[in-house]
Amino acid sequence: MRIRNAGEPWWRVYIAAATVGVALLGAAVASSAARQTPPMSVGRAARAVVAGAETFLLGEAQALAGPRIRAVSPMPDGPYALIVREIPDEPQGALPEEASGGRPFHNGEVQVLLWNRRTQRVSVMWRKRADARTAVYVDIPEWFPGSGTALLGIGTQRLDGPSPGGNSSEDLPEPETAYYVVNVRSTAATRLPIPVARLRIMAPDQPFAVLCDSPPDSEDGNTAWSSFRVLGADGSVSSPLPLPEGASPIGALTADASALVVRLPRKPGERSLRYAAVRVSDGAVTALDKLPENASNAKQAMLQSIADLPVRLVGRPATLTDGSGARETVHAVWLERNDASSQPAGAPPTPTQPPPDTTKPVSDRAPVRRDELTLVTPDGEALMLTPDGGAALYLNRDGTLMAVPLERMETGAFLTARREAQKAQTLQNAKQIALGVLMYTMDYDEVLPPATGVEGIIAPYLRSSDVFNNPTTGAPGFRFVLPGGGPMGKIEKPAATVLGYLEGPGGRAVIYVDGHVTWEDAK
Amino acid sequence: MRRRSSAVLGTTTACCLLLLPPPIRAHTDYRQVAEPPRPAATRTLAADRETFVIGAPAEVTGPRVHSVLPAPRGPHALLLREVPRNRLSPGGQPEQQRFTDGEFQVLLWNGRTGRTSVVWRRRVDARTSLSVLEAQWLSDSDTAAVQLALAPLGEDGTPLKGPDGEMVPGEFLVLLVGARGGTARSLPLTDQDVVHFSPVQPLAVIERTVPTTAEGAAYFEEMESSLRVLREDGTTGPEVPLPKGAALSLEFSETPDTVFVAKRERTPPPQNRRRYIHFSLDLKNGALTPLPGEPKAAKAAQERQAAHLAQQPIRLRASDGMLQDDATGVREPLRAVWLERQPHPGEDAGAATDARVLIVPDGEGVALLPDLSAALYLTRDGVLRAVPIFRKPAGAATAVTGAPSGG
Repeated sequence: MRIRNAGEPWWRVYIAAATVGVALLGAAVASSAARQTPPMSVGRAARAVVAGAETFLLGEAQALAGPRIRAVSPMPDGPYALIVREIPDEPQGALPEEASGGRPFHNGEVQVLLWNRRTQRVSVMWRKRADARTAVYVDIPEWFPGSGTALLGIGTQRLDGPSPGGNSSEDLPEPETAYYVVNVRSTAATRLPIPVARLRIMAPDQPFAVLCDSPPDSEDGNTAWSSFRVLGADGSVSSPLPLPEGASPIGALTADASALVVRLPRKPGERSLRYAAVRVSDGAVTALDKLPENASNAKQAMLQSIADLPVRLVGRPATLTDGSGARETVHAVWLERNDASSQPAGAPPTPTQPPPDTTKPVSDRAPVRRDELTLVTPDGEALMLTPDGGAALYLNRDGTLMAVPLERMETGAFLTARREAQKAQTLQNAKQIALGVLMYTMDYDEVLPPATGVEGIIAPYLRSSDVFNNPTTGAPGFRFVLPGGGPMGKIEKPAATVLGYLEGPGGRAVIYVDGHVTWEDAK
Repeated sequence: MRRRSSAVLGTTTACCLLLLPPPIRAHTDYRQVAEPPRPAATRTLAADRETFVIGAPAEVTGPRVHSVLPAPRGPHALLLREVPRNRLSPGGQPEQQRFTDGEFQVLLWNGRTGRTSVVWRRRVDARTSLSVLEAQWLSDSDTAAVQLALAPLGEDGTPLKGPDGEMVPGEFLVLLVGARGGTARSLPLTDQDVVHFSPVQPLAVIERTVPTTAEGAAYFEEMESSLRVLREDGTTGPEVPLPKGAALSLEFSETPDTVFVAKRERTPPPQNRRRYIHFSLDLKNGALTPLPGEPKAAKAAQERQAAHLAQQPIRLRASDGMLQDDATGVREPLRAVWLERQPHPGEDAGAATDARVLIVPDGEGVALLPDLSAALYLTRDGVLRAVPIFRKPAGAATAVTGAPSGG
């Protein structure tokens, strides 16, 4: 027969719980619904990476979009990212199969999504069905810096049209390609009435792109370039300006984004490469002695910003083992201090140092301090940090795009807060131990537990055996100092008699027989 | 022609990549086109004459899912979820903090369609205490019940008191969630009501208790109680009064529409000992029959479900694991979830390397659907994910996966 535990209506139970500050929902669920599902792991200690003067705190992961993610393009100067996603027409619950990596995509829907990190919302900006008759291509979205707009290259191709040369895939009709400008304010994608260029170069730190074209009748797509246009973030486009004969754009502009850098054809007998700067405003050509070191484009500038962050996201193999001897290799994603960016904030930029080779064995690398690295996910694929270091993006095993928000704080403040939290945890654990001893004593005719093995003896009264550990080190930190086994009534001053100690950060919690707990700093 | 058109759109990408200094490319995992990481080979688990093929996990909902209850029949699961307004949780021990800012949701997941729908929601703030007292599926039914209590709190987080010093009454209700219709029906309760779920029938019994004295030894002996049957369609039966003091224990019989209650009394002095008198109560007509001794109650629903799962060829197991970064040697404790072959009596399943398949390196709150069609687990961040499982005859699985069975 099961006698009702409290023998009382609920309200007494829940009011009591509220009074002592126990998580009502968690407690209730743990005792009822979650009998088949133990309490989940959201309660783990906060994850953080100490990176010099700054510490990065990790928030809870958010799923941004399901499989399949084809491209992710974070805004270089804002809280947005554009995501290209394909939703294949696969029946729910289909057997697993290899991702169809071959293009074109023709069996589902292609979407361009906008993620707003501040509102945590993902909205569809553009979508198109692809089927057996029509394939859809979406190029990597690229942002116009400082404008809140991005450029998309989109192509559609008829798969069932008349094939001039027969049935070979080589003879399919020419795809229809177009540029779209997407605007985060209007959350709209607008098609531009201009032909797609052979090469586009997004200017670094400036809201325009340079579109380079080949001669209309050129068959040699690798070498012939004829002209360029300037495309503004508002969709305006300049008249074509000629490129020097034989010049090839290298995909970059000068650091001030005033000129396009091109490689000039070698003269007969000349061994070194020649370069020139073509002014984007009027096409004026200036010869250059060498390739300018600071030539760049928007994407390169963004990647440099990411590389300069004090932390970096890495994915690499890790080994999972458990007590039963099971062993499995997984691909873990970590956030760790970026060795290449350890210079203090505000220091002048220095040339990018080669990062440490994370694939090297442990013995070949500088030791990593435990608080300089934290696990983001044990099985995923690292994508990137956002350029402002506000979020880490990775893919789950199933291809879902996940975002982990990152919050920066000063390391000194973090360490202080962490120490205080660990101290509070030590006191709380000590209190639980004290209550466990008292409950044991009440159940055993007021006799204290024996001195040896007290951890195991009072374990049934505790929520977790982790309470005996030092929260700072994770190592066992409890010491029972009473002789043990004697009647509690013989202790004359329970409030002044020490039952035991629990080690914590910079001191220890002192547990008294009457159940109260105090803190004692280390001498 | 198609080859060239692809090249047109991809030229920018190629040019940009070529321009990147090698160090940046080397350690910034910026993917131009991101392919989902997939397992190298389809994972399978052989058990008896069947092979279980493990599908790709998919997100069900979250964060933060707090409880997952698979339906006893059919492909559904009932989910309880807290949706915090601020997802960043720097520091502290969240599991010991009361949920104070966000929304509490009751959701229904359909494993067949993969869809999750919110069937009930309630805003929660620092001045509201929401407590889930019970949540379970009615026996052999597509209806689940969630028993909730909501109470106003004061600024200090303790129960709010009125001007007279008495606690301001809260709201008590039971939700009946129908899996077929995907709806939730709310039934108001009082603070004197306790809901008991039958493990043998799709019904519950609402017990209303009125204590005649608030304190003292006479409390149990003097309690007056009555029962009402709550059916899966939300209707309730007439009130059946219990003998005074007979609400100390209420358990269900294996016989339908029958519950056992017990009454405590003391033997006459000088023994003055406690003793229990047991009764059988017919819920249909209220007939009360004294029993000669303690009756054998029906097994609880959880025990029945556990017994059912123990008879299945596979089981889900979460174990403490350790993840070691191969590059730095840094170790991280995890909770690994494995799908295992059910060991035969006396067999050590852990010894065989092909006896298990890793479902997820870090998950908790694991649940296997009773029909073994999916495994559910919670991630570190409280996201619920489902891994489909496909049952195939041993020979057929080799043809499907192209590989022999094994972990």
